[in-house]
Amino acid sequence: MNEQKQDSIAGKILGKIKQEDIHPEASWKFVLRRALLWTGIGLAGAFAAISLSLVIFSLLSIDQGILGFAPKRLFSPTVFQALPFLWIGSLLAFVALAVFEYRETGHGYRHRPLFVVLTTFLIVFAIGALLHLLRIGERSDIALRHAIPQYDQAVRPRDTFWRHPEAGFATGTVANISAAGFLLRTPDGDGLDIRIGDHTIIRLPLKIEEGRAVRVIGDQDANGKIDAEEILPALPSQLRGGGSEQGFNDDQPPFPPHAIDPATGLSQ
Amino acid sequence: MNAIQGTKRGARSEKHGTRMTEPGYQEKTDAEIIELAKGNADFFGVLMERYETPLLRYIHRISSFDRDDAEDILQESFIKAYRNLNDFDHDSKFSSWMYRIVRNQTIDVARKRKIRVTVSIDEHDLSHILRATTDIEDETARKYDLTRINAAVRSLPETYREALILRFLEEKSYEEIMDILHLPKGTVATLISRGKKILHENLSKEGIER
Repeated sequence: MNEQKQDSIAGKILGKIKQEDIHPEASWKFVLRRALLWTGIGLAGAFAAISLSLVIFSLLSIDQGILGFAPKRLFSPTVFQALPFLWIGSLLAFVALAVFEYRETGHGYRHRPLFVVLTTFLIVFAIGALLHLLRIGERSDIALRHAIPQYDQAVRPRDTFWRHPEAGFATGTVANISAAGFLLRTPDGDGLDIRIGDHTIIRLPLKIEEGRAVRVIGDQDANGKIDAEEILPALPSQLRGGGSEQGFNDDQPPFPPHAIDPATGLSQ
Repeated sequence: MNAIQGTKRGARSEKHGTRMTEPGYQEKTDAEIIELAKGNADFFGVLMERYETPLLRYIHRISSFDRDDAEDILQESFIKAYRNLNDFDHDSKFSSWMYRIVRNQTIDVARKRKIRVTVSIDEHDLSHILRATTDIEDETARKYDLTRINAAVRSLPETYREALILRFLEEKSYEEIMDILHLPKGTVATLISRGKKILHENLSKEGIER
């Protein structure tokens, strides 16, 4: 009895296959599916790498030396807000997508998830660093600013990083030098009193003089005066940003009425 | 269970028009028959004949479905495999691919019916798994209440139990288990090693093994 029942299984299935005219799906459908999957992995990896190059560019736009110069302020809300969350999120999302898609491929399950994640990050970091060297991040940033107004708003905290004297970060040009310090003329046109003491570290290649573009790290007192801890040179890109409602605009001088000489940091 | 191993293959093959049991077809490898089956469904019958018994037994081992349900699951699994024959990756074994499909189909049916997938290991399987994973001899095992031993095996976490069933009852290699469970080989090794350890602990708790 058992034998007869068992015997009928394959025959029953074969009968059903023939009766319902079931055929194997065409090969091209599976080839196409695999091709789409690998294309998806490639695109996710490429977007992750571009996101990384934008992260690098955005971080360097804040300040190349902030990590070394102001470690005690590293966890301040100003630094936190200036992080390129948009691109960090995009990087993580695309890496996750690439990993997920790889796991969906025929042999994706054969590797440990941690190994796949680390390998993906390694590849993305290598390509992302290369893209940064090719200035793809910077070009993408500029192109996005022009193409998408909302993007400009999204990255504003990065541009205004050096415009938070209350958090100890200020930028502008030197004006009215005195024995105690100098007046810092901010991009908004405000004046900030900067006090220089014995403890102040001046990291300028040239001496402080009027018209020089500088950044100041220090503590602001109740009267609005900043007790400078460090004074650093500023680049024109660090003086602009948020000067107008439109934010960065190549058609307008970023820091009117001055134009900064990048070589000397002096206004012309 | 033993009775179903003796299958009248010749009679069935004649019934479907192709003499699948002719010398030659039965000697061919799975990969060769798959290529033939892509153009003629009858050849798929040869593969079904080869694997229906172990797969049916596997369904019983990983679930508590009755025979009719198990056959339905097997039927759906074979039809699914036939539809996706062109997706079969020759880097892995056809049997592993079929075990994977059957496993997924069993879990799907259990989910649809909202029933928990539980193992049903008979006395023969139990003594086999004990011999393979512990130092307990058949005679020793017989001295104890088999239900207590069964309880120790059943109380294994699902993933460990499944890995142990595939390794010691289905006698699959680590690579095959990797392809069936879709887990990395290292994870399979860990599951088997830890599964054995937990089984030892469970048996100790039952006072069966020290």
